[in-house]
Amino acid sequence: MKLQEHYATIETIDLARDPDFRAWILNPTPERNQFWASVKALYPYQQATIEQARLLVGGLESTWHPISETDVQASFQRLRQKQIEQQPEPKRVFFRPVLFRYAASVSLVLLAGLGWWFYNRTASPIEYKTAYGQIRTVTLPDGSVVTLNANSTLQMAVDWQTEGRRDIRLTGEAFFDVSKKPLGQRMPFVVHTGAADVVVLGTRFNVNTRRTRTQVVLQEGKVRVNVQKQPDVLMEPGDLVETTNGKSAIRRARVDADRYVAWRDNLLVLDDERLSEIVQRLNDEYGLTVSISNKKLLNERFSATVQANRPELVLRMLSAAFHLKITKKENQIELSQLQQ
Amino acid sequence: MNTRPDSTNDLIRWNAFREGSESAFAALYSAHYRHLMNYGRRFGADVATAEDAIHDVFIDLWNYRRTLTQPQSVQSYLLRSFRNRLVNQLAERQRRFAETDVGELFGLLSPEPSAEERLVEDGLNQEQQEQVQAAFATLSPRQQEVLYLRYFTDLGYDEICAVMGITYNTARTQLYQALTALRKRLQPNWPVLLLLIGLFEK
Repeated sequence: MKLQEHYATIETIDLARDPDFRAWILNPTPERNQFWASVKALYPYQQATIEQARLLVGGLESTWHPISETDVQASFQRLRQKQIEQQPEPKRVFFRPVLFRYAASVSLVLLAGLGWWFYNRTASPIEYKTAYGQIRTVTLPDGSVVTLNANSTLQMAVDWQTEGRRDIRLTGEAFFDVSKKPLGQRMPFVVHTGAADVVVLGTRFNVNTRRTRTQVVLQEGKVRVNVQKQPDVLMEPGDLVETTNGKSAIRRARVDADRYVAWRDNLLVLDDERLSEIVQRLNDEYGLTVSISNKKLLNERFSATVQANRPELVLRMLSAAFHLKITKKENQIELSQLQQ
Repeated sequence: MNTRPDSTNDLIRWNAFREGSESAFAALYSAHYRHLMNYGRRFGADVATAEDAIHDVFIDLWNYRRTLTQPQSVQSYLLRSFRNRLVNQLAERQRRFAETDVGELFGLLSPEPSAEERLVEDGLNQEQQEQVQAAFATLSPRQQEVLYLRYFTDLGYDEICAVMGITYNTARTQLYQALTALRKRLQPNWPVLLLLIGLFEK
């Protein structure tokens, strides 16, 4: 708090703007009352100013429309929705190998100068994003095809050519179909997830970084997974490698790779999964908050395949299979035991 | 009590957002939404219209972040962009009725307060509250707007002029006139104090 002297010659508007003064008007405490009484006593000619400033603060503050934090966040979500809807598909020049080879080489020369200029202007990473429940296929400049699952982000540097490697950063889940020899030369393709790097030379595989872990499932070809402080893991098709952020242990298993990439065919496949995992997936991929009141059920296992855009079917199947009642409060979905 | 956005935090977030940080973008939005919404409603805009204008401002910010420079004050920049957009939108709507200067629509009390909105704790009794509201009503829209910006933001006079598109002298004069008018209306009622004011006022 400032000294009394500070208010000896202050003007009405500056007094009204003073944070300590406003705090006293809107939130008087014995301590504040005492301080301002002493100001009035020391500078009696300021009494009118103090009274006017008090009315000004009270009057102005009463015109303020308070807005709750929830409303601010909801408004921001509406903004995000608009951004996603308005987002133009990033236009990428991409040449088909056989048909356009000659045309491409000619245009490449023509575009080289222009490209250099553009490159210098916009060297920040390109980002692709999906919303909850949205799947999106992106063709990268080298011809590799990435399918992004819901609620995921893919970032790539623009300068692959000069770097001599294709660096990708992923949060969420994506399936990669990597082209072997982009632009006639072998170039490493690396997916960074924070916990691990997946190094590729032409292959098809799935990467999932949800829930502070990184899980790689290889469908075809060969990849090498580099995990910090661990020997590299060379994967064969049908291998699953999983690591948790901050831990050095690696889990390795043989799996049915097709089931891990079923989401690409717009299918939600639950294959003998624990209810706890299903609840987590509904949250990750659809933004649904589901709670199961009977915690014993969380270890039960369940299998089902539904269309990816019908997650509510999973809830209905669960309710039928385990005799649960579905109640919905705002964004919360609760599954509770049906009374017999 | 409403909180004013912190200008140092603003600049840090502004620079991070220009480099593509989404969390900084979200933080900027949260820090300024309440102020932009309150400002907009005083031009008579309903919540949906004001929010649309806020969204337009932020969508443009994000799309053009690479070409943005660092403004002297982030809040002043946002208020100005928002005001321009809103005024254009409202003018568009207004054109059908009459040729009105939309800046003249400003009122400290927004014209359509919804019934369920509770006014904030203000420390005044009913009578005093009515006295102040009556005093505000005697001010011109411009005077009210300068007073609003001076009180609810930390902007200097130069930044207020930039927001409203008026000159420095106009801003100062408007505020001075507003305060003089208010002082006449907000005279405390007891005689001793009147005597004191008479003695000490220049």
